[in-house]
Amino acid sequence: MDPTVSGTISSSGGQQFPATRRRMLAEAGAGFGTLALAGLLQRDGLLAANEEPSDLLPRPGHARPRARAVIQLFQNGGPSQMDLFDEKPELTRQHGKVPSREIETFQLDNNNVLLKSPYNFYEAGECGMRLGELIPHVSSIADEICLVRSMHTGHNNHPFAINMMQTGKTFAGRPAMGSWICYGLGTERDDLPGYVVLRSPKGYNTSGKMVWSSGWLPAVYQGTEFNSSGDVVHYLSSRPGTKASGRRRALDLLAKLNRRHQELYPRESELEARIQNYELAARMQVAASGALDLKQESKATRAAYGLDNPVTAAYGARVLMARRLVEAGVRFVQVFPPVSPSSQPWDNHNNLPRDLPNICRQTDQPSAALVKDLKRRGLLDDVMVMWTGEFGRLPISEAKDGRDHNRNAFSLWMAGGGFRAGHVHGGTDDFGYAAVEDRVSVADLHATVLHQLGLDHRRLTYRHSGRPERLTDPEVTGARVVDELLA
Amino acid sequence: MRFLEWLARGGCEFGATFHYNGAVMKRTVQVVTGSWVLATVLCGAAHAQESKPIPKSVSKSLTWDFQQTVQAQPGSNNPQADRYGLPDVWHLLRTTRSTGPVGSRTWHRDGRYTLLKLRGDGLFGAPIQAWTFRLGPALAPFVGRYTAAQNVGVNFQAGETVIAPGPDHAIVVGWRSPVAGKLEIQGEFQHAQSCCGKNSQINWYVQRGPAPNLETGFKEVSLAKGRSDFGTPSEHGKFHLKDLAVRPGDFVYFIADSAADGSGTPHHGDATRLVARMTVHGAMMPRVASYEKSIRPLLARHCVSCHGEDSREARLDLRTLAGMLAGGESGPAIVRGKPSLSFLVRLVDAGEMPPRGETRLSDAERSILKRWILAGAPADTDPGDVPPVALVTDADRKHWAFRPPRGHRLPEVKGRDRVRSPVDVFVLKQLEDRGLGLASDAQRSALLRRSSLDLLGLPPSPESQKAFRADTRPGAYARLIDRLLAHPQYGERWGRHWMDAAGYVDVRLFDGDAATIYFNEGMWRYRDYCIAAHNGDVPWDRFITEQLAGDELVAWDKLKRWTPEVQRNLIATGYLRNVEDPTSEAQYGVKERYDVLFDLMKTVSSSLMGLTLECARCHSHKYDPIPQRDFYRFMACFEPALNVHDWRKPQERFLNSVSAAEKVEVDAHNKSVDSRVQVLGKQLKSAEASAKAKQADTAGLVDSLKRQIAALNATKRGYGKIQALWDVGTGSPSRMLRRGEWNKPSIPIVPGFLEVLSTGRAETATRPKDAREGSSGRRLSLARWLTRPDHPLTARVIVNRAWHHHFGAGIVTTPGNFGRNGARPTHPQLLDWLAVDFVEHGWSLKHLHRRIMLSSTYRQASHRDPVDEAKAVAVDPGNRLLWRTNLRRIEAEVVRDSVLVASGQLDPTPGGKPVMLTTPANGLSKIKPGPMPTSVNRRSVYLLARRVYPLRFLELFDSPIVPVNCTKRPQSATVLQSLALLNSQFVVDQAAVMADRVRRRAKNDDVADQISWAFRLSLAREPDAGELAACRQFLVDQAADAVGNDSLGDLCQMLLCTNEFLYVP
Repeated sequence: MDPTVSGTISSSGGQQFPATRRRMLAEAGAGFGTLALAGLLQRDGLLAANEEPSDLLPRPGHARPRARAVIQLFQNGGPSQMDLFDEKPELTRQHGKVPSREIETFQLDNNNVLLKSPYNFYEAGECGMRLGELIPHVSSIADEICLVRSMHTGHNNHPFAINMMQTGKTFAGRPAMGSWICYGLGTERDDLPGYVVLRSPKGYNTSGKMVWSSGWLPAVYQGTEFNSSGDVVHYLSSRPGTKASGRRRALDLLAKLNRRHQELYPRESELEARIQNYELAARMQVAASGALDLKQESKATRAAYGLDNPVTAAYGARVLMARRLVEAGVRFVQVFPPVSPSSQPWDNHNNLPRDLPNICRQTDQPSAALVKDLKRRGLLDDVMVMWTGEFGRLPISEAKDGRDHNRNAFSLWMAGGGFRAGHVHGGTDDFGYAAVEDRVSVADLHATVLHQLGLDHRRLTYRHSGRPERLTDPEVTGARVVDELLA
Repeated sequence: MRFLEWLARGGCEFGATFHYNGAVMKRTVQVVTGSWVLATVLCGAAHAQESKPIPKSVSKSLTWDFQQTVQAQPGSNNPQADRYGLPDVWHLLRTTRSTGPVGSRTWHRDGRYTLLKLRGDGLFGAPIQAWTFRLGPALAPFVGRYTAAQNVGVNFQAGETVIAPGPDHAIVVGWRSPVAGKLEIQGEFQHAQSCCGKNSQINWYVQRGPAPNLETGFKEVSLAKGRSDFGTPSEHGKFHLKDLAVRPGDFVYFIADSAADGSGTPHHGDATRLVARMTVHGAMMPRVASYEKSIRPLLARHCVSCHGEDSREARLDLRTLAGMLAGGESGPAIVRGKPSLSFLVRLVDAGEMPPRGETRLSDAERSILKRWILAGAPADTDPGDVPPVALVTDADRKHWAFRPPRGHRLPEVKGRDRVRSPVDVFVLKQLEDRGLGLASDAQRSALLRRSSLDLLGLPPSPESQKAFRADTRPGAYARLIDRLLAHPQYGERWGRHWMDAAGYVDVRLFDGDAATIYFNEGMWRYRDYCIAAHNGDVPWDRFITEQLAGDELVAWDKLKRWTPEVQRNLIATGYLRNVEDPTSEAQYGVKERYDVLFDLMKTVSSSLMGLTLECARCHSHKYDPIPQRDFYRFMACFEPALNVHDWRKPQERFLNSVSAAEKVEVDAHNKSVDSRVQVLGKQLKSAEASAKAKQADTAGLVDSLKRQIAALNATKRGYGKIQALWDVGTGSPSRMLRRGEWNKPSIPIVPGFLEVLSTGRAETATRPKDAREGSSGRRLSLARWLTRPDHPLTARVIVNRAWHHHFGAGIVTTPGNFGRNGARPTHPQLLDWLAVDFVEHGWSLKHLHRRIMLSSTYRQASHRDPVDEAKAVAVDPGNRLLWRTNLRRIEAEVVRDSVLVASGQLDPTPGGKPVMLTTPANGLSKIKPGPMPTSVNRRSVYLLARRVYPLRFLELFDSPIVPVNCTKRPQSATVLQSLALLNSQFVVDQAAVMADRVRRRAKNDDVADQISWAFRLSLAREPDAGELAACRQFLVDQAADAVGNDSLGDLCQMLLCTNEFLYVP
């Protein structure tokens, strides 16, 4: 569609849109945000208006926020902590021996003998945290990241652990963290979604769309897939050969017909929202295309994200798009890793020496470039970067030279958004099998992320089927804000 | 019993000395194996909220003397167990470090103290009873008392207390007040060690505060502090504090830190005399808990599910006091007046009960329990005659949804002229009570479109529009409803509603992988069953029974031939087969099998009972009166079929669509056909070969052989799969799971139903006589219970769901939750009346439709004039009282099907295998053209039903993602919907086809007629003059602009984009 189409139009009644669309939409209870409306969705109490929002209008959280946006670099499959982040000399010493404790395995072809990491570890940064040789770029931002070595989670298979990381529970159907955040805070832009997902154009990662489902939260809080190639959003472009003036005239006719219909229903804000949506659709085309247009980036920036290298280009492009999106005001961006050789690229059950370096090569440089770039632009204080998988791997060998799933320990890193820079938190046992020191649960992580965004995880509730639900379900999980991770 | 009475009865068991009203009562120490108490105990610890004044006449002063109560005894355990819940008053604690504020240090009561005397150690050669943290050369810290006179610098008499810090550990003696009153503290720290020069001295503190948190310490309030150094004026660190307000649970700490002048390491083991006497004036005693109000509920909460009626683990029954006193395998559970002799208390304190993983008793609860035992376990009721603890009370049964519905009398209303049906009376009553009334009837064209969308999920065809317009006789509308209800597409619409609640999918796994589909082969037969059952108006009690237990109704395993009825009953159990079942993977075991059962419970309880039971899986339901026991009782109804210890993988859980005998017959027949075809095939081959070699004219033979082969093949008979559920394996006992965890089976459980819906104790599932031989009959029993005419939930839930689909909101707006946290009904009497009427009319859904749709309430317009509306909005902004009909967006399937109806492309072929979908990498899932060219345009109900990847176009309009099931679809209005209507290939193509149809239908090239046809096809009405003019102008301008578009196609598409098209009028 021709971008000029998106200009302000006058409706059939000659009524001009107010000067600031955002304000008008807010007054009308509409907006990109009004995509689902409180009045119709939430009528639990007789005659009572519902207090829970179902729009994307920006709103204050519970406390002064430390960060305003999140980029989650989701590394699904289960990155191997003892080969990347968590050096285990004792594991090396006892290589080939039978572990002294029982190991909880998932697959059936494990050998109950310890497997040392084939990689060297080096001190990185001023802080001197020790990181593996496969991630030299992340090592170069060691002084910016907060490395958590004592994560643990609830299930040792992918779909369940992904549910856990995304929704706080192992079973499917609950809202994703990004949905909760948009529900809590809304978003600054009315022509971009609050929660954007960037996945490989080659396909979905494990669990696919369930990963960014809004569950029983209103659909407006669902992650919206932006395509990093082709149409940015599904159905964004009109049919080839459509002339802009013809489309404009058709939209005007549509507005006219809708306005006549709406006269009968002056209070149905959902009808108003739909009328607006046709115009917003056009605006979104411009905004989304612009936000994802990497040609606007300098050659140096593109090179920094590895766009000039076929190995890193695809993932680098998504990471760079993520930066552009948060810069444009998107609240939560989720970036997925490559889907080849598998939809869970960190799942190194066998031939770890071949596959782990491979996925590191594709993701290491862009991940680090993002943090450097945000810092250079002064955005690192406002934007939180999360590099996280769904669980870790075992210290024993599977097949010949692979590692099986491990829910008892994994590592992840955070950067910016008020997290302690150059800090290592927690620790695992001698073999990296279980987090033992300053353990952090996934619910703790969620509570901490919300906290940095100014949201109190105990107070961020949504009534579902009569129950006040929370992301962290603190009464069951005992979730707490992990102050030790914060600057 | 009062405090004094039990005191007098010897209720106090420990070596306690009381100064009470000047009289000293001293009792012998009773040493209890495995549970030693360091210091004296006043019988009766307390919590602030529990305390109440005892009569003034006995409320005087109480005294606790540290020296007289330290009793390190042989045969006793470490004193450092967590005893905050005990009525102890003295606690031995320590902190790490000897620097920094005491409150902020790391505190320990870690049980690592050792009884010094037991190791044969003495102190300076003198026998001492003491506890120490560390033995050997660094004997520190410790607390104890000399058993004989001793001089270690200062003279100690036998029985005097000595404490000592370590070089890096402060020793802390805590006193915890069991009472409220004014506290007086008097005493002394006296450093008593002459060695080691100036590095031997102590800093001492008297502080008060709350109980220490072992991680964060506490906020200290200093009462007194000083330094005590042997042989100097500071040696006597005396303190005397008065008039301190104290409440039960408050702590006073006596702390000794080793100090040094800096010239060397602080000396450890600085023996220090500690004298401490606590007196509380005007002491107020905490109340002893009531057995009925506190103790019985506490035990019911924590203990009775294992030590109660259903099961008496360890042959112990804790439901009654008699049961406690009688005890179980390990003897009496309690000993009156003696908490530490009470086995129950010991297990609770040791953390052995409740078992690992269960909720522990809180400190407060333990304290209440011990105090009650200490007080002699008084009970208000005769202990022998205590009725069993009911986990559900009569008050719980009063919740509206737990009482059977009753047919309320019709209330009086004023606007009788609008009353067409009893429904109207109930609705009008509430409206009139608030000064409102019904809106006028909707226009006929709107009513036609509304009822057609509601009952068929399709807009009315131009023909039916014409027919309805032409029928001007009275009763035309009722006849219309009859016609629609008799239409075969009714079942496709209402079957789909039920499929939401049942969580219908064609796949068996999680469906997380877009590119791969794991079919539940033949599942579509269940979809067709639902559609047929709706079309046939199968009574709902029958419909429910077949779905829960069709396999128990017919002797399918014995019958030689299966009638359609037998097949139908087996197909119906597909209802229980929609659940995600990952157990085909070898890594999964019993845990995941239970998960399948849990998911099944969710589906059954939310779709049929309007309850969420899943909370009760791990603990008794927080919001609804559903004890954990009920959950497992209910689950046990399904366990013979989903037997976790004798499991079938999902792909093995199918039956053939013919009986075993027929299968043999069909297989044999097909085999013989195959062999004959093979023979003929060989002949054909050689005939063809010779024809090729031109050896003979075999063309006729070839043709004849080909015909014979085709004819033979046509006689082959087929059968498919039925995804069914039936009892498998040998029965294994059903058990409760502690905390809902698969590997913590606890008591055996009897299958049954919810206690709150039973009078008295929960009903058990008894095997119905007509249950199929060889099956447990449990599901049939469940179905019979659910379909009792007076069941409080079943009919209400169905009636409410129908109302929801007719009005956009149920009478209860949470169709899946009728519990306490669900919404309350807006019209409770109407809901009851409809439920009773529904059952009385044979559980007929079609009857219910007529009841609802023939009412004035349903026939109202969806809009009112502005003045009326403003008035109504002021009273009821959400239209909960129905002063007009709600404007509802059509559901996803209806959007797509309506577009196909408008273009004339809808393929009405019913039933059969699902129309395939593919999901390419870009995520835009689409229909995969099948062998029949028209199959892409089948009704949406026939598209492949996936959990996660439905047709993208449908997904955008809120078709459900189905982890389990869906009792209420959201209604969103997103930009992505607008984009799909504007730019999707589907809508663009159908609009073009619709334009062709318009051209064919319209007279010649009459533009006005074309516009009228476009309106009829899309909006089922004629355009008004203004619309006609606007559309005409559009067509002219569009043509003049020579945009290259199909102008009429654009017009059609815009009509499909209108709000009017998307909403039920």
